[in-house]
Amino acid sequence: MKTLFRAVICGVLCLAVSSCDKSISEFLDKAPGVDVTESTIFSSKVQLETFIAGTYRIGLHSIFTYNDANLIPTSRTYCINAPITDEAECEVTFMHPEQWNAGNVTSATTLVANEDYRYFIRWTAIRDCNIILERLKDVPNLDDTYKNQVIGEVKFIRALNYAEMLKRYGGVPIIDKRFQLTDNFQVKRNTIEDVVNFIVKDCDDAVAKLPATYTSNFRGRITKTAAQMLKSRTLLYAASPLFNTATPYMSLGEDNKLICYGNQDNSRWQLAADAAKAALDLAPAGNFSLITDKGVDKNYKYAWEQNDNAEIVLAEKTYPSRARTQFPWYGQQPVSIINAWGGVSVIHNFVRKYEKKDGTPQTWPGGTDLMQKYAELDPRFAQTVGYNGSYYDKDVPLLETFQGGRHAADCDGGAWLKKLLPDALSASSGAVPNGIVFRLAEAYLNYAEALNEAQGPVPAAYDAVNTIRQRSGMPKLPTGLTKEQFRDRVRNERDIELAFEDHRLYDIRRWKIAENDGVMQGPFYGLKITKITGSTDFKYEPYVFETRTFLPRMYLHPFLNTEVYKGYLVQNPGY
Amino acid sequence: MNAKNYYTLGLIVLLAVVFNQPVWAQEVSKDSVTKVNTLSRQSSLNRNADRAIAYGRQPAWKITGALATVSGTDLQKNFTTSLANTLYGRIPGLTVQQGGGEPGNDSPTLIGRGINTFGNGGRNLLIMVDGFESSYEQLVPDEIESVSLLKDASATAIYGLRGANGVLLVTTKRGSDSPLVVNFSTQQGFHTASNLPQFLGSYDYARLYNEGLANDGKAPRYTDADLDAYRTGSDPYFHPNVNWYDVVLKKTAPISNYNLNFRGGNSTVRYFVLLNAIKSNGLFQNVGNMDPESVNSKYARFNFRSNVDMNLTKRLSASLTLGGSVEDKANPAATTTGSVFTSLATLPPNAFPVYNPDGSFGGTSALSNPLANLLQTGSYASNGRTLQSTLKLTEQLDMITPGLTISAAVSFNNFFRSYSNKTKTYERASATKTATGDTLYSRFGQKTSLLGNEDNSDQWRNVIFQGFLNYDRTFGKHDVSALFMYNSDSYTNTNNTTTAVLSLPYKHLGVGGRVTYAYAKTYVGELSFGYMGSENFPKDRRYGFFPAASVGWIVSNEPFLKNSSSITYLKLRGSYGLAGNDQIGGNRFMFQQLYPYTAAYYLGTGNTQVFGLAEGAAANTQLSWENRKLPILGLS
Repeated sequence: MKTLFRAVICGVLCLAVSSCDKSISEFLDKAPGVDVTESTIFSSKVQLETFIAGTYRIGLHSIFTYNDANLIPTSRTYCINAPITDEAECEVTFMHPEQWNAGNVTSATTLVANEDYRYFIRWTAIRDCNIILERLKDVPNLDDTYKNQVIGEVKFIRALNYAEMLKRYGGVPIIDKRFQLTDNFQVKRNTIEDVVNFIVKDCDDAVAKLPATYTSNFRGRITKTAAQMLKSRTLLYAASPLFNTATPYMSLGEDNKLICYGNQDNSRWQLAADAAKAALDLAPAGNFSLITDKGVDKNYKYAWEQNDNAEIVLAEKTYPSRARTQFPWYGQQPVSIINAWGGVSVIHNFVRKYEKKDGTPQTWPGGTDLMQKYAELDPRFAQTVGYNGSYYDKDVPLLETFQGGRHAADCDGGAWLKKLLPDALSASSGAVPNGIVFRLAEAYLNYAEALNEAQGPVPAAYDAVNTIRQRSGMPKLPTGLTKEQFRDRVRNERDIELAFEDHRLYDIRRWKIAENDGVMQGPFYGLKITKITGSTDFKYEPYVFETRTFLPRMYLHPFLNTEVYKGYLVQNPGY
Repeated sequence: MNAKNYYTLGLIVLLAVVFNQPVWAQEVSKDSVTKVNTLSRQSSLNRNADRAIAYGRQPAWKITGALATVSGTDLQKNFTTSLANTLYGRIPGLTVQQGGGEPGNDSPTLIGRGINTFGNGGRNLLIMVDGFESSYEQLVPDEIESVSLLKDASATAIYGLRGANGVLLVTTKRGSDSPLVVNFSTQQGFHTASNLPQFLGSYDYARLYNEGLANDGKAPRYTDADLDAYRTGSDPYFHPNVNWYDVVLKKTAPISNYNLNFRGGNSTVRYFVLLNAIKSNGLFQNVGNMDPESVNSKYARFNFRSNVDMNLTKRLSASLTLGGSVEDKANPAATTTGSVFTSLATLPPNAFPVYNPDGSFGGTSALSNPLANLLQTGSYASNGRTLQSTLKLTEQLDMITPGLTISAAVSFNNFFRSYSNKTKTYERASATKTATGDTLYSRFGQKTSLLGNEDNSDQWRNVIFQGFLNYDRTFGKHDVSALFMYNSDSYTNTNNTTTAVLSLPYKHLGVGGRVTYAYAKTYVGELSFGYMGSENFPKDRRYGFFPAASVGWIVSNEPFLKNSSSITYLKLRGSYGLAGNDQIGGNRFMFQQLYPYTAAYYLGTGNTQVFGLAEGAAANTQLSWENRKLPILGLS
C-alpha cells in the first residue's frame, strides 16, 4: 500500500515538474540572458576594459559643459565658468554664471544650476573606482603591468574627483570602498588635511604604477605625468592662502579644519614646488613638451586647438566630432553667428591684463585707435579673443563687434571668446572638443608660483615663467623683482596663459582676491566700439556694463541643503 | 472621461429557452428544466451548496474566511461585452472602475477590498479561472458558474506571496448527471448616452460673448447683422450654428448576443458545451460608411467552451476544460474617444460649419473638425485570441483511507493579439467671404493616402502544473477535510522585444495546505498556509511562508437558537493571517548588480570610439515581497 502511495505521489510530482529539465531548486533561477552583471564585467580583460572606458567617461571632469542625458543630469550649466570671473560675461541671463555675478549662490539653488553639475556623478565615479580596486583581483589572466596600470588609472580618477571637490567644497567625506546596502551612508566630512593627503597618496600610487606613455591608439589614457600634475595642482591649492591659514575666510568654529588647515605653514609651498618640478621632470619620458615650433604667434593656439598635441598631458575625450549645434559648442557662440544660447563675451577687465609685446602694461584711456591698441598686445591676445576685425571661423572671416556691426548683438564686453572654439568648427563642419584636463604649461606656472612663495624669486622660478612667456614671443620678466612683484607677475601670467581653461575661478578663490575691485565684485567693463567714417580704425570707450556682487561665503560652494538636512554634513559657513 | 456618458440600457429580450431535449429520459423533461432553474436561482443563497474557495470547494456554512460570491445567472443581467463590467455592484468589497465606454476599450480596473499594499508596484487582484491564472474578461456570463472574491488572509494564504490584494475566482459551468439540456438564448439591446450636456446655440453664444466684452468695456465682436444671421440661420456657411454632439454621435447603438449551450451527462461523462457570439457598436455617427478611411467602434467576439468530466475507471476520473474566444475590435485610428469628447465639449457652435460650400471639411488652423477626425483618419483593427485549456486527473485512494484523493493538473493558457493600423491625414479649410462676395479658402492640414502597418501587439502564454492531495471525511459529528497542494507556474510575455529581460518567464513555485475541522456543523476551525517562491527575488530570500488561521461559530445551529424564527442563520467568524504581494514594481531581478548603461569613450590620436559600460542602480540583495498581516472579524 505504502509503495503504491509513494509511486502515485512521485508520479504527480514528476508530471508537475516535467516542464523543465532542471531540478525544482533551479526552477526559479533566472534564465541566461543578455544582461551584463558585475561578474560579467570582471570575467575578462576585454570586459574590464569596457567598464574602465565607462569610468573614464564618468570620472574625467572637463573644462567644457555637456548635456549628457544618460549620465549627467540635464541642467543649466550650458555655459563655461569663465563668466563667473573677470574673464568674461555670459550673455544668457538664466545660465549659472549670472547667478554667481549676482551673489545668488545658496544652498537651496541646486548645485546643478550653480556650476557643479557633476556633483552627483562624481560620487558615481568614485564608486566605480572603488569597485575596480575591489574586484580587479578577480579578473583572470592579467599581467602585473596591466594590473598596475589599471590601479594607477582608477586611483588617479578617484583623486581627480576628490581634487575637484576639494577646490569647490573644502573637506569632503572620504569614501575609499564600495558601499553596500548595509553600510552607514552618512559619512561625515574629512578635514582639508585628510583630503589633501588622500589625494596625494592616490597620486603617489598612480605615479608609481602608471606607464610614462602609451601607444598612439591609447592616447588619452592616464600617464605618470598626468598623475604627477594632479599632485602638483592639489599641493598648490593646499599651500594657497584659502586653505593654508590658521583662520578661515569665515569661521566654522570647531569645524574650521573642514575648510582650512588650521595653521599657516610655508613649507607647504615647497611641497607644491617639488611636485611641480617632478611633473616637469617626468614630462620628457612621456613625450610631453611645450609647443614651440609653430611660431611665436601660433604656438599658443596650437596648444589649445590641436587635439592630442604634445602639450596636452591629459584630455577628456568623451565625444567624437561635434557639430556646432551640439554641446559643448552650442552655448558658447554668439547669437549672431548661431541662433543658440547667447555666447560668451570677453570683457575689458580681462583684455586689459594683456601686456604690450614689450612687456609693459597697455593703457586704455579711450580713443580712436582701438585696432592699434589691439595690435600692440601680447600675441596670445589674438589667439584667445575674438575681437573686432578678427577671424572667427570660415563662415565669419571678419568679426564686427562695433555698434551696429553684425556681431554686436548682446556683446557687452566688446569682444567674443575665440579660445576653445577651433577654426575647423563652422556651420558645415564639426570639431572634436579638446577637453583639456592637464596642459604642461600649467606645471611651469605652478612651479614658478610655488617656488616664489617658498623661496622668493629665485632663478628657477624666473626660468619657469619665462619659458612660458618666450614661447609666445613675450620678453623675459625683468630681473630684481621683489617676492610680491614676482607674485603679481606670475599670477597675471597664469591668468593670461590658462585663460578660459576653468582655472580662474579657483585661482581667485585660493588667492582670496575675489573681493578686489573688478575681480568678482565691483564694476565690470566692456568696450563700446564705434566705427569711424573714412578710417580703418575704431573708436573705443571703456564703460561699466554691470556691477557684480561677491559674498565672502562664496569662497566655497554650498552643499545642497537637502543633503545637509540629513544631519551628517556640516554646511560651509554663510549658507 | 466619457465613461459616464454611456450605459447599457438593459433591454433584454430573452427570446426563450427554445427547446430542451432530454436524451435519456423523456418523461422527466419538464421537471429537469424546473429543477435546473430553481437550483441556479438559489445557488447564491443556498448555504449548503458548495462555494468555490482556494483550490477547492466548501459548503458555505463551513467557510471561515472572508469571501463573497456571485452566480453566473446574476451576471447575465448586466448586458455588456466584458465580463469584468458585469461585476459592478455584484460582489461586496469589489471595486470596479471603468475608464471608458467605447466598445472594445472598456476594460475596468478591479480592486479587492480597497488598496491593500504600499509602494509603486502593482495592487492587482490575482484572477484565477477554474484554478489557473488565465484571461477572464473575454468570458461570457452564460458560461460562468460563479465568481468569488477571496478577501482575507485565511482565504488567500494558500496563494502565498500573491494573495495580499485578494483573489478573484472565476468558475465556469460544468456538466451534471442529468439529461441533456439545450439552451438557446439571444439578447438584443442598445447603448445610449445617459447624459450629454446641452449647449447654447450660436446666437446665444455670440450674444453672451458680446455681453462679456461689454462688461470688460470692450467693443463687441459680433455685429447685429451677425447676431441676426445666427438667430435666423440664414447663412449656414459663414454664420454656422452646429450642434457637434448631433453631428458626431448617434442616439443609440445596438448590442446583441447569441448563446447556445448544451449541458448534461450521466454517471460516466458530464459535459457543458457552449457557443456564443456577441457584437456591439459604438455611438459615432456616420462613421464607418467611408471604409477603409474610417471605422466606427466595433466589437465582436465568438466564444466556445467544452468542459467535460469523465470517470475513466472506478477510481480515476478526468476533467477537461477547454475555453476560447476570438475577438475583433475596430476603433478610429488617429483619435481616441477622449479626444473626440474633448473637442465636442470645447468647440464653439459658430466656429466653422461641418462642410464648406465647396464640400471640404470646415476647420481652422487651431481647431480641427471632430467629424473629419473620425471620417478621414483611418482605422485601427485588432484581432485577439484566447485559449484556456486544462486537464486534471483525480485518483481516489480509498484503499489507503476513505475520503483521500490525489490529483494532478496541467494548464496551458494563451493570449494573442495582432493589429492592423491604417492612418491618414486630411485637409480642412476655413472659408471667408471677401468684400466682393467671393469665397476665399485658407487650407490647413494635408490630405494623404492611407498608410498601414500590421504587427502583433500583445501576446502571452502560461504553463501551470498542480498536484493535490485531498482528504474529506465525516465521522459522526466530526467533519475533517484537508488539502495539500503543489503549484508551479511560468508566465511568458513575449510581446516586449525591446528589453530582453522582460521576455524571460515570470515564475512561481510553491506548496500550500489547508486543514478544516468542524464539529456538529457549529464550530469550525481552519489552518492554512502557503509556501511560495518567485523568480524575482534573490536566491536565499526567494521563498516565503504565509500561515493563516480562522475560526467560525454558527450560532444559529446551537440548541438555543435552533428553533428561532427571527434568526435563521447567524455565523461569527474571525481570522488572522499573513499574505504577500510580489508585485513590487521597479525592474526585474533587482537583486543582480547590472551594468546596463553604455558609456562610450574615445581614445587614440584618431579619436576612436571604445565601447564602455556603466553601473546601473545599486542591486538590492535584500529584495523581498510586501507582507500584509490581516486580522478580520466577521458576521454572517
